Amino acid sequence: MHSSHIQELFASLSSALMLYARQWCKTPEDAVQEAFIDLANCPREPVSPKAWLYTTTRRKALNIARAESRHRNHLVQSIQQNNADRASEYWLEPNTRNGIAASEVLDGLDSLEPPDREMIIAKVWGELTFEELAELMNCSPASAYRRYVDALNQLKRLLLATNTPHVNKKT
Amino acid sequence: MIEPKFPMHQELDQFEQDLKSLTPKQYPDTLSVQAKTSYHDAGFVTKPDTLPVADNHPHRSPTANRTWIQIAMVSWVTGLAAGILLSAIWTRVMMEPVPLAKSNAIPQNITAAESRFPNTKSVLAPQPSALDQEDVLAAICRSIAINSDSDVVLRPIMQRNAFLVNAASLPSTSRIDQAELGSHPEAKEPDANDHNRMTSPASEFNSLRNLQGQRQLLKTLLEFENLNTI
Repeated sequence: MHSSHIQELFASLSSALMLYARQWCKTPEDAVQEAFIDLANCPREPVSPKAWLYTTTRRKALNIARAESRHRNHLVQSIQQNNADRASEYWLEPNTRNGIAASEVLDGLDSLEPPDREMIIAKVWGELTFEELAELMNCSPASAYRRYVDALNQLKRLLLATNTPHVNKKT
Repeated sequence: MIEPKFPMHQELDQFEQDLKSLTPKQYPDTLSVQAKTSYHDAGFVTKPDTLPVADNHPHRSPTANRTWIQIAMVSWVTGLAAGILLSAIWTRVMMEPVPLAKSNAIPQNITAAESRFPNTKSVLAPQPSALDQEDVLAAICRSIAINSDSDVVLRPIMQRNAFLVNAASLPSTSRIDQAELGSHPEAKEPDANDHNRMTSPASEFNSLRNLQGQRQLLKTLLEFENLNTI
């Protein structure tokens, strides 16, 4: 795979992939980086590099999460410190124009089921097509479309439940 | 972006655009030690632009794993080489000939028959006296004379000698020659050399006796391998 193409993908997808990998592990940067390394080492370019990157990032993040859980006994204090730091860190840059609170969106995402959260992050911030989303979620594009619409409606209801005034209340 | 194939509701599309306005956290410029190492291995960067921060997960460092593998490989190879070297030294020590502590000369009470075995006496061993050598040689000669009847080489010679001795004791050998010639009338006349040889049995007997003695002496010498002691 050409290096310029990898650089373009990294520039456009690294942030969304990091938000995507954050669901499973505490070091999503490592998962994203390992996914790009695997992409660079691929003998053949994937048919859909974006979907391939999301799938690989998920696998890497799960591996990292397993490693973290194995060493949990040795890192109890470190995890507690990380949890304390995580409360103050942000994964979405706040935008004052539309007034949507990034923290509330993150809370709403964390309240969703993991597959729904995956689909919203991959579709909204990863800008995957429904064909790529179907490949990522191992379903048909029509099923991916239906599931995505349902997840998005569910997230909207969650945000409305928090009485956020700037969210469109029409469903 | 709503795909034409899958139309999105207008309000839901607006909500999606609002969500997209929240940009995700940027990928950090400063990577951990592990991330920097793997990134360099992949060849993405050639020179680090920032100093790496402390890694909270040293157990996942591939560099540490490689170090342990290298240490294990070097230890294994060193142990193997040491084992081969020690085994070679041990084999060399065990195969080294033991130096002679004392002479293996033939003791005085050894029998004559036993002395026929090959002599492995050292050159530096003290030489036996001439009287002892003579006794040993006499014993060997006696054993040869006793065993000559069963000897494949000497037995035909001894039988022929006995025949010639008996022939020499007769007044003349002409009768034998005539009888032999008479029994073979088609035989041609002997030449002058044959006539001289047949007409001098005593000289032939003497030569055969000398031959017999020489053969016995030769056999003695062959069997008594250590010629220096004779």
